[in-house]
Amino acid sequence: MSSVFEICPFEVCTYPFMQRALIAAFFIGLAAPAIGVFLVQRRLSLMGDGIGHVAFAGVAAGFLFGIAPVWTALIAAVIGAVVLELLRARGRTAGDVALALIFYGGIAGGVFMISLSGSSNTNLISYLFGSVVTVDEADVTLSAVVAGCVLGITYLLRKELFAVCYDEDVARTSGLNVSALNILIAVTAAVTVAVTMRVVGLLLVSAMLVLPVAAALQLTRSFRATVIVSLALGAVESIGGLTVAFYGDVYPAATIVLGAIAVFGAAATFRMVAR
Amino acid sequence: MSTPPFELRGGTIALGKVPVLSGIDLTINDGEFLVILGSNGSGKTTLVRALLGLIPLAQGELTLFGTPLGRFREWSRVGYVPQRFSATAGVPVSVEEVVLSGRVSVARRFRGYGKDDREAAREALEAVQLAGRIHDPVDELSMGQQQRVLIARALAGGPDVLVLDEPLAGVDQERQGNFAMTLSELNRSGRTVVLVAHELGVLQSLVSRAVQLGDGRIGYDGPPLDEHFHIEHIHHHPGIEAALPNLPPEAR
Repeated sequence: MSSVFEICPFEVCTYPFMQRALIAAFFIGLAAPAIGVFLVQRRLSLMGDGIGHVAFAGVAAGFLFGIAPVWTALIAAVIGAVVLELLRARGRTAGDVALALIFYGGIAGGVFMISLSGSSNTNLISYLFGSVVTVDEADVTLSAVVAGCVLGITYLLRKELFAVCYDEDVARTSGLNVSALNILIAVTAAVTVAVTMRVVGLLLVSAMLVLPVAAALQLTRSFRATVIVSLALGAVESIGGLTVAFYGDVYPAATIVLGAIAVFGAAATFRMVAR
Repeated sequence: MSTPPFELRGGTIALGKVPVLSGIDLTINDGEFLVILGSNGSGKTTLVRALLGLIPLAQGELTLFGTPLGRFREWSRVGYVPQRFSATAGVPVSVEEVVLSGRVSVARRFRGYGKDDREAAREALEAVQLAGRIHDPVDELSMGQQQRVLIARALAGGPDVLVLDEPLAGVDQERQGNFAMTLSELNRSGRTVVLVAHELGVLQSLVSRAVQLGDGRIGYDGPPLDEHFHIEHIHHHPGIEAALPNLPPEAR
């Protein structure tokens, strides 16, 4: 009988730390695919991952200098994203090597600063894999503000962002400021990554940008429908994964991302069967 | 309306540090149906991309509708149909969404596309005979149909000049004729048409001017000649050659 009560959705809501985490997860679940869909569209699915690596160095810098790691991660992620975008826009040949340098440089620099700061492993792990317990009021506010900004930008500029991601050359001959829009996408992704890391952690941050979109596009026939379905999936997967993590006492990063992969698998299977 | 859509003076265009074209003087006049010809690697695509401001000029001056490129803002007057379908797969996109994106320069900011935009998109699709596929995902269409979707996108903004880069590549023989007629109608309705092609082929009787590139410069500029109908080149396209018998143009 007791297990029935444990599964009851209301219990998960009785703990203040879970309430905060659930609210933050909901906002992140909406915001991540809203910007992620543009990354997937232009085949930059792993850009979020690259930004995550750089944000790791930011977190470490926060530990080292005694500043709140969310802010240092945010700054590092934004700088990293702009550099990644400039490298991408510049050319093809040296681009992927430059990306690799940034990825590994971010991790190595982060590990180096972590060792210097001598901070505890548990603290670090909460940034790598996310943590429910450490989500505080400020994180909830920040995730709400960021989600609002991401949704606002991607909604108000949806025509322009679509045009740029779909066909950069034609966007340019339509008079759009392609470079500025590309930077905007990169910075928006960076900010989303920095905030998302509090719940799913830096190592899996890219998953929430990409997986709901990947699942949605198995089922949809237009860009608009893909956006709507992936936002819904993102929110449901975040909250669902967090709830499962609570009852299973495991890192939410694992349950959220495994859940998202399971949803993707179900969507892909449905698509194959339906054809 | 009589200002030339494109005017290039002393243009040198380089890819990286290697000059591909140099000393290019080219004025494309209002209402012309102009074809840019040349063998593979002669710089046809490079030239049109430079005319559109997608490749910076190493030297020379370029005006669009009488305005220097740097100050040109009336981009809705220009419709560009790139060579390849640049965005495949990724996220599914409907035909309507692609065509609507051609209205991004004329649609209201910070809003979705309105009724007038949708109307224009539908009309553009009707012009390329694809109105029936408006809600289908683009990647379910054939290559030739996708090419026509891109033309519809370029038309949707109501441009005065249409620039098409090898639009006949990948279009089956049967469709090439229809396609040429569509372009011809657009030209007759007052639009300037600039088209990059390997050879004139089905366009022979329709175009008013041919510009042939070779050795990094303009080798011929004038009315289309019979020799432009079929141009010898290193890469063979057996499909096209088999389907296009070497008939004299007047027999077509």
